[in-house]
Amino acid sequence: MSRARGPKPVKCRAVKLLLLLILAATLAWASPEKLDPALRALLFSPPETQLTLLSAYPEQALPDPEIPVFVELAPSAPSTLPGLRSRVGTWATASLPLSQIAQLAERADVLRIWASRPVEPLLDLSVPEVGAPLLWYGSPSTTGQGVVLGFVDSGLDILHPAFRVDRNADGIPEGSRVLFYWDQTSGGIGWFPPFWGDEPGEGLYGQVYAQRDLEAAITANYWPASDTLGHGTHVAGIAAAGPAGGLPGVAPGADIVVVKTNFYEDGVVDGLKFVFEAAEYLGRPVVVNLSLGGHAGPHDGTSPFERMISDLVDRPGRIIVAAAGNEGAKKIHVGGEIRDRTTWTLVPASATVIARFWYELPGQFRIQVTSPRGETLLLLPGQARGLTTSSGVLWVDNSLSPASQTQQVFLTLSGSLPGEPWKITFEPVFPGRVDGWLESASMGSFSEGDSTMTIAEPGNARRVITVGAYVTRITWNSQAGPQHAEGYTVQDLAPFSSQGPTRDGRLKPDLAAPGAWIVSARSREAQVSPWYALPDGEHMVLAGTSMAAPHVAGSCALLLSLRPSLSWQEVLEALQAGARVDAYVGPTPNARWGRGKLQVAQAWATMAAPPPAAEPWLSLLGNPVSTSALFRYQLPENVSWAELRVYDLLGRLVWRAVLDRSGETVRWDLLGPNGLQVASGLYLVVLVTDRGASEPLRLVVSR
Amino acid sequence: MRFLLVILGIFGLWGRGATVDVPLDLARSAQAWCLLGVDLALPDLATNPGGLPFAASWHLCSTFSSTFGVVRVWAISLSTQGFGAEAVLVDGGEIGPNLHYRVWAGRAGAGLRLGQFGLGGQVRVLRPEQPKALLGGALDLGFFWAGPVYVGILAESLVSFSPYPHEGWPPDLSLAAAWRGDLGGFSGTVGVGFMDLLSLPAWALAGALDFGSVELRLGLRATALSLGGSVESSWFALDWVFTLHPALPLSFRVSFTLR
Repeated sequence: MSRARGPKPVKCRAVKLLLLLILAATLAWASPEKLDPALRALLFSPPETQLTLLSAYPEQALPDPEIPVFVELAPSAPSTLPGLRSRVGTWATASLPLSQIAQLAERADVLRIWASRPVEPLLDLSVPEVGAPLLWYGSPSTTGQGVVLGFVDSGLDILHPAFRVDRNADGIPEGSRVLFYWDQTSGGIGWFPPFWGDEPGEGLYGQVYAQRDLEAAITANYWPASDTLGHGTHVAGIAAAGPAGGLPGVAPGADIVVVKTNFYEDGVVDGLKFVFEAAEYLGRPVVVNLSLGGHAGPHDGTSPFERMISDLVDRPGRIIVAAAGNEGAKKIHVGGEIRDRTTWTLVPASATVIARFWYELPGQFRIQVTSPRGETLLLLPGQARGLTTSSGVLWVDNSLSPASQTQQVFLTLSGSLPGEPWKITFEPVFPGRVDGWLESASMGSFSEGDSTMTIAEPGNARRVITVGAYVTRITWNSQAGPQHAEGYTVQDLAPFSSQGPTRDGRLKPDLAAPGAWIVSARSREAQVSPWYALPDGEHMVLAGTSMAAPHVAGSCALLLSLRPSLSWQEVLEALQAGARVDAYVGPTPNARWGRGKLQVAQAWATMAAPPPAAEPWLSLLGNPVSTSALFRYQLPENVSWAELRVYDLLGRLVWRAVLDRSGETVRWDLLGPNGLQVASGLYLVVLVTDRGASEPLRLVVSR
Repeated sequence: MRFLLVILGIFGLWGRGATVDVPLDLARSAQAWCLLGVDLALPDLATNPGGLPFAASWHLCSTFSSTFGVVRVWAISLSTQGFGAEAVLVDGGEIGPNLHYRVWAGRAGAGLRLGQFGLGGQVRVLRPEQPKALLGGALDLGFFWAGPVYVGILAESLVSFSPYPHEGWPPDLSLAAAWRGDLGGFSGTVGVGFMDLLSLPAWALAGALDFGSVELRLGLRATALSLGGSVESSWFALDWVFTLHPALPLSFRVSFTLR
């Protein structure tokens, strides 16, 4: 199943309108209360509105287009329902023809169906700034070995030196640091690794490349699934660039898993699950960076998108880091207690505008929308109607959803004229607080709007670490000459950095990290303005909370490398406890900075000693090795002595080290008892104590 | 004596903490494995090319081993009076993403008998297949003395090219002595060995009791205790051995020999 998506021009508009009318008539019996307003609009709004909404999806076969959705299932629902993919908790992702969505809603074991909406990629000095080198060269030291860093983004230029490795020390980086690369946008169904597709619903679409495929691509110097946007490569470079690129990222020793996403919420969830399954298959802790987001949800962690993401963080060693969003200077939010008639002014900036207003029961409101020319549409609670005006086609859904305490007013404008204001009036039947957002800042703004509560989803999810951006650089030398970024102050919060709190009042962002202007890897397939491209051709500068998030993701990888069993909560608490506060940050916590500026070495210093293990536990950070091997260990509480022993395949002792009971890592420089280098080959490593021994690990020495 | 120490010292400079040719050592049959290196001094086992001329008959032997529960070994060997060859596959399985350990190795040797003395040479070939496909080889020299006691000496890798580009395959030296005698109704063998003196020096003691169609064996060294045995007839033998290690899981090895 091809899931390549992207807006396409609408052809034969009249024919499509007719087909949609026929489909809508046949689906009139569907269970509308189970559908979210966006799906109801697809089914019941005027055909112009339907076409506008469909234009966000790829070219579709009318009259029955395929729509990506989230489906909430009753516990009794079978996992083999057709079309379902990744299932997390009670929710599942799916891509279904519109007619099947209506049929699915008829089932008693299907509780709700939500449309999956698009998300957007959010766009030297910064790595030392966050204290990463203190952990690279400290004691214990780490560069992120043994941890999987996942990126669900626009892809990666695997040919870039930053993501390659020179295994045989011949000066040619022939290896790839990327273990798996899933291109969701690729047509057809390709190879999938054994961990994916083994459970019902794991979406088999696109193409997965294993490390050997990537290394073959490196050898051929041809990479068909590259990053044409450049965003994913830049983001991955900040978190994980290796030294070969000349500008190491925060965790240059981490392994990488990439999902080139289709930038739809359901695809992002599938991608996250893929990275987590890959890490589980490898037996490694994992951090996934999400430098993307949107404003289609209620901003309180309860949308299917944010709920599924939170539910995936269900065990220690799994962390998701999300960008806060770049709407800190955009008036895309309006909100307040509605006790009297209240009017907000929506000023479109594009022909298509989607706005959502959220409130809690028992609040109920009459909605009146007035076009720039004075045409008016009035809706009572429970109504959904459209109106064709001289300024565009309006659709408003004020239906009540019995399945949820949280209610939504859905408004869409098609063919609106940029700059001509629409008035949206809320009149309370039962008063309550209402918060509304435009789905994207590119659609327009509210004249009475503000920039609070502009954390992009999934940054409002409960088990996600959300990162705002501050400024660490305002000048650089580009291919077009010296550049200076106006309007930015070094060490101050970046003006675009989205602000919290969440709609339910939780603190977000959690902390801030460098996000303007950041030098990182440049994809050679991406079109880059010479003002942003550095003279070396391998790097470029970008700004955004997209750049801040990978600083934190890389830092999480460093912490997990030192202690793989940490939970997301423990890592967040450490990052917040170690955060730097200065005059720019002001009193903390606050809704602009969270707890302050990222300081990963300080975060590590604040962490308490690990809880005692029940049995001796040993893990290996990196395999194969060529110069040294780093092991992490954990000892039971009542151990009186412990040794790490390395044996060859004949069982002969090659190396031993008495372990510090308070320590966590030990390094073997691949030297034998005579102080000389051991031969390449396979070795067995075991942690031996007076309370038993660990399972032997297989260590490959390969030079 | 001083000359010998100087020679050993020079070899020691070339030595390594562990040797390249471990996969070749894993090719040993269950009978030889149980003796933990003392087999170097036994004429009917093909470990020492110097002992090949003293072999009583031809042997075709296949061996399987699960070594410490993590490595599997398959080997096949053919030996006759004055000649021996074997091939082995060592497979460490899937260790990580696209990380496997798999090595092929082979050995062919020939020997001449000069009275009580035997002198032989062998060529060993090592072909790591994963994680990298490489090729290397070495030439060894073996001495054997069938006196009141058997003495075997094996000088390994006198000429070599390592499969690993940045590593050598340095010389090594092993020696063993064994006594075999009639103990009234059954025969017994005891021996001592000093292996890999230039890399990871190790000693071993081993013994066997042969009751005709059944033989029991015991081997001991600092990091292993081997218990094995065999049932045999005039044309076949089934050998097995279990190896106990102080820190690693149990190993077993089984061989079937036609002769």
